Amino acid sequence: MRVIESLKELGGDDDPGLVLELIGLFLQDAPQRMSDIQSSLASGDIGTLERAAHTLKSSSANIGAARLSENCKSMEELARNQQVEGLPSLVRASVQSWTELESVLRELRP
Amino acid sequence: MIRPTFEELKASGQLPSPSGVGMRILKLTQDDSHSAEEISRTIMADPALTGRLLKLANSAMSGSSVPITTIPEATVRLGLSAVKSVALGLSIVSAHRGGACAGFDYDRFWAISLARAVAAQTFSQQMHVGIPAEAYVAALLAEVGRLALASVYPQEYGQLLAAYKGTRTTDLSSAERDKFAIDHDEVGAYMLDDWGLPVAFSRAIQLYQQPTSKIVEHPDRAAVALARVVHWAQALSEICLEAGSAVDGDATGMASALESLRASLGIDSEPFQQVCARISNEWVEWGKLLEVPTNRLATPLQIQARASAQTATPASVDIVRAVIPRGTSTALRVLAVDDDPMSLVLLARTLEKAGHEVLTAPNGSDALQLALETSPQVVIADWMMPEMDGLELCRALRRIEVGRNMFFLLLTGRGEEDRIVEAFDAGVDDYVHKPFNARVLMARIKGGQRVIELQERVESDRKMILKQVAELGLMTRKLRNAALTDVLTEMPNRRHAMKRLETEWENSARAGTPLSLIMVDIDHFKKVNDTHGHGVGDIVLKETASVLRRTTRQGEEASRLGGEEFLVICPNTNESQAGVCAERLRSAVERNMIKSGTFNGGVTISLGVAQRTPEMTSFDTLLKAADDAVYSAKTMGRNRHMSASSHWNKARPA
Repeated sequence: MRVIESLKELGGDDDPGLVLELIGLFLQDAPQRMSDIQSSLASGDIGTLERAAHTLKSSSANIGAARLSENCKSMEELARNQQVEGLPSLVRASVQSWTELESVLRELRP
Repeated sequence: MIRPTFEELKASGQLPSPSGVGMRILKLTQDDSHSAEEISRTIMADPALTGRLLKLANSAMSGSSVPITTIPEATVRLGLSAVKSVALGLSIVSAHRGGACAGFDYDRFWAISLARAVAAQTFSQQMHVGIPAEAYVAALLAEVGRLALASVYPQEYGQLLAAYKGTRTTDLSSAERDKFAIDHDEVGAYMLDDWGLPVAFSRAIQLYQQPTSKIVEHPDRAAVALARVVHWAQALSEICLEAGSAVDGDATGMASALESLRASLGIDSEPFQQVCARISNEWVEWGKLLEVPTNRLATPLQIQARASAQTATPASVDIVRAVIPRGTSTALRVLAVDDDPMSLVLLARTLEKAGHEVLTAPNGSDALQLALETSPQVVIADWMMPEMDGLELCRALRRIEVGRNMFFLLLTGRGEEDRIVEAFDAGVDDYVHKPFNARVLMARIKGGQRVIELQERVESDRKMILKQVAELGLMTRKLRNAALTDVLTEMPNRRHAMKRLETEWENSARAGTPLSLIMVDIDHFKKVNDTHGHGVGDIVLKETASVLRRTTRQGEEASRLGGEEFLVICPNTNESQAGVCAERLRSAVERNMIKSGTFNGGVTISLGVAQRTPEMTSFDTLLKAADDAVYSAKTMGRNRHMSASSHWNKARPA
């Protein structure tokens, strides 16, 4: 699976502890960012949405979650350019990728 | 001739200076266009300073029911000038908690400075002398000149301190003058002036060590008020220091020292108790706030408690400060900054694996604080972060001395490439894309390492050059002093006297103040030489010079013109006042007994006094008048003084 390979590359085969630690950190941080994205879309706080998408873009890229990262990048750009009309569908797509990713990652954690 | 000395010290670039916010305030106040609002805003950019300043504003304004909670309010209540001074003073403390001089106990220095500051503020308030906030700053910085000498001459000053350990301040000051041609009080006063603090501050720190009776003679009322409270505060902090360093100290002795301070302040026991309690509390609070250890000194309360209990006290604990090790040539100290905890861990691990020492911060403002405390060689920061982003962090670092040479690597996300020019404008050295590839990151850091090594080499060259310049300056000063000093008597020589006379001549013309001279000639000196030999003659000259030097007062300057002839310059003095001085000198020399070889007895002097008159066109005429008066004193029978006016008019004996 791509995610795990990417993490192994980051941590090196000799350091499985790091991989698990990174996944743990991601699982701690990402839900808050996702809920920030959803609530700021609802309230129209585009600045918060841009920041949350930015952070999630790089952390999801770190663990190799390419689809989520790509979605976040698009959300960040739309938010920066105030193109709100494209946002709802992107947010929906991101929530879906996140849900899938989360269940995979939770299984990896002992 | 002192001013250039300070300029030389300043040119060394090693003088203590305010850091960060203090420096910005200094810059703002250097031109007159700054507004109170700008200054408040600058101060508020530093949360630690803001807190400290508000604490001072509230304790200095005690009695008012509404606490001061904002800087603009403090500015209104304390006055802009006091707020500026306090901000500067506090920023000096945070920038100079340690330094290069191994023989200088920085912790002890700040502990006693803080004790003095808190005591001065409290005295000012209780006794209604001066402005409490100003008293605090003047007392805090009263010995900043020592810090300056330790910074400019770490090695030499360390040796001097070791040699003069335990001696009085006056001995140390004269040793400083011998070695550096300037003492710490003078350096301190020039520094305060240089920072644009009100002139009363520099006057106060030159005055405060004199007895109170002497301090009050100074014409600057504001300086007198400051000097008086700093004087008392110094007395109190010295007692606290002694009580703190004496392990099982003489508790009653300390308490009686406190008691005599109380008596000289002229306040009753009960209010004095309250003052002591306030100082003790405030001091401990301030110690925490400024991170200055307070346990090296005993608080007034502890002293009093100890005296009444008469029990042994535990030894004061020595503070061991953690020393941050400099990295070896390959390992670097790296500060990693990212608001995303995962990226931060990943970054830290990658760097640690490559053997670097890693510090982490979750945002720009924490990173700035950490960078100031630990001086990392490399900073790797994310661009987008809440509060202070990567570019703001970089700009903030580039504005301060220590941040200028850090290698700054920016992490950029996708989509930020088009703004990279902005990043380089902010002072970023290089950038790496996120998510980063560990090998690329290491390659960039390696590139940075070369830059750092080059910079460090340049820096060490610069330091060496500055050190050489400072040494050269020192040598020049010593030579200049030698050229202006009489070798036998160690008094200023004729060349110096003529320079000084020229200056005073111009001063008196400009200010319209009187100027008088006293010409001095030893009676029958030739006979001493002929009868007892030149060796004895030299002793007589030295002894007489020493009496003259001791007997002249501040402002008057005695020099040796040559042979057995001396000159005393008395600025701001009229002829009859100079006559009184002349009589004092005459009688002092007459009473001084000299025993050397075959000589056993005393010598007498003849003196001529002259005051500048409107008809005199140059100081030569004044010298001539004084010279003529000496001649007249000689012809009148010696061992007396004659005044030029009486000599011109009546030529009657004095």
